[in-house]
Amino acid sequence: MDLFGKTITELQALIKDKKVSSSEIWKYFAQRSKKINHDINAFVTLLDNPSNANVGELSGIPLAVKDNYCTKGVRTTASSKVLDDFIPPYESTVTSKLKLAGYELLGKTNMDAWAHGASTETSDYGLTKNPWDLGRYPGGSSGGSAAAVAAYMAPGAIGSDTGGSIRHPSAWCGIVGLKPTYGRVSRYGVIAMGSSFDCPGPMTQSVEDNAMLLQIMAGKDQYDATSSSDAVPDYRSEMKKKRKLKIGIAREYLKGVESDIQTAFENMVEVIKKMGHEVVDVSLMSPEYSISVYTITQRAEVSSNLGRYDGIRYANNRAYFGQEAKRRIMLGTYTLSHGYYDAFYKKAQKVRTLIKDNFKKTFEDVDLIIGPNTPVTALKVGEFEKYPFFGELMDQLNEPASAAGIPAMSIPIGLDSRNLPIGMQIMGNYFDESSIFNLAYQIEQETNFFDVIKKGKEKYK
Amino acid sequence: MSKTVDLTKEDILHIAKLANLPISENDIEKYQKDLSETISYVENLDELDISKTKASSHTTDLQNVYFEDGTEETRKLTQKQATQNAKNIKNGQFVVKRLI
Repeated sequence: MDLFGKTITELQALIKDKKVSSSEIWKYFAQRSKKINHDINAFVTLLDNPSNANVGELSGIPLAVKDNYCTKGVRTTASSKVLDDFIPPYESTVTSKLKLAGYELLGKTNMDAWAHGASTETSDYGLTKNPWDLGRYPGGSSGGSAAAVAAYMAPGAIGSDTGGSIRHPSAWCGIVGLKPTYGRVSRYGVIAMGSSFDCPGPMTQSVEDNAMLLQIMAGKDQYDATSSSDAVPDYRSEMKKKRKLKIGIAREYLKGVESDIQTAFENMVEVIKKMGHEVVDVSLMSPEYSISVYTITQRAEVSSNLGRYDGIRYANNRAYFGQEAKRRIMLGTYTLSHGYYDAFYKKAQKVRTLIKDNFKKTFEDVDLIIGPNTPVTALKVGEFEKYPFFGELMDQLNEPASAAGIPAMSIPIGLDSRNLPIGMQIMGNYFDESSIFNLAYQIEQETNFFDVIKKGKEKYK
Repeated sequence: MSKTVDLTKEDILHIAKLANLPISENDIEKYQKDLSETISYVENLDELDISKTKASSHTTDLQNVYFEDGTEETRKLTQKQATQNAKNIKNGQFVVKRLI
């Protein structure tokens, strides 16, 4: 049986119909990921054997998991030498849920160290390469997870998004990536970065796979007090409802975006209109304010979260931090230090209220907001240096949703003149992942995402 | 990027000390430049009127989350598990620098 390119949903059907066994699937992906990883470096750790005895919906499905999820007994580094030999004594809630559902951990994926960045270049285990062009960045920080799915090293992956870390690499590698509402998915056991932003989420080849994985991951967790007790809807049935949606476009988000991306976006808007949805202009605060809010609060949270690495109870000492982590810890330490708290942190938290209110008010009128996802498509390795403040600028269109805590998804909407994937972002109201899935699924049915996901995989057939 | 804040070498050394971060002499200038640039950027928040705005403490406005008594045992680690990743343990305990 040729398994190439099958989505998780398709693999589940094949297993159910006994057309393929779990061990065949494991062997297929274990061999593929090992081979392709030489070129792409998507994985920090690859597992030799399947080990999950649980039987469930995901039985026999191997998934790639970002290396900032604690996996009991499996090395977890967050791509930093500080955690070079760290073996977690407990399991994160997300991977526990996946385990209960029967999944197999294929490997742990590379990322920017501590999830600080938008390139994977800050990883202490080498850069991940973009499967579309090995001379380019995959984006980040969940770059390993995105590359693993794009090159079909895994049928799906788990990432985490603090200021765009799922959506950004999903756009640059041409896959479907969702940052759920803050609190929809438990953060327990995910190595903490920006605790008021961190959102675990699925990265997949199809919208249905994405909805199916979120269904398993979502829900209240007693170990994460900020997780929500709101009921989790049946995402797949919500996704398939025949809905006509009212969609807002914020012109503020088109400023400074490359012309190929603008063109693909305008083209997508026309398709959406033709599908019968209503498209209206909305006005949102400039993303530039979100960059500042994000930068201040996230660095503050980083300085506090990374304070725990003392080298005494576990891990290496603080000398092992890379430059980017040091820069962020120092900035957070500065803005939280005596006399500066009001000028930075408190001010940022007030502006954060404005950003939230701005989205809440806008969602009184529209179901969803769409816009470009990144200002440019995948950059060449080395171009990082040209952009001071690189990560924040690459994520300027992602950070507003992160600051507000609303859900947002990246879907592929075409290729640019250099044959690189272009992403579009769909933002939804708090806990309304259903509407995002609904629109994304309709677009997928209508356009097959312009064959972007298919073409990406074909390169690695 | 325009720069309106200039951190001094002493500022960087002070911050690094507060954060307990060893930094090399050669990097100080770079940190001065990078941190000053970032702090200057975020000054754009001054353009907004926040005189009547309350600070956000949480994005989804959850309140009063309590932990049920008696449920935490499920995630208790054994002493062996808790110390398995430490570089320096003695009699099953973490070794720390002498404080007094």
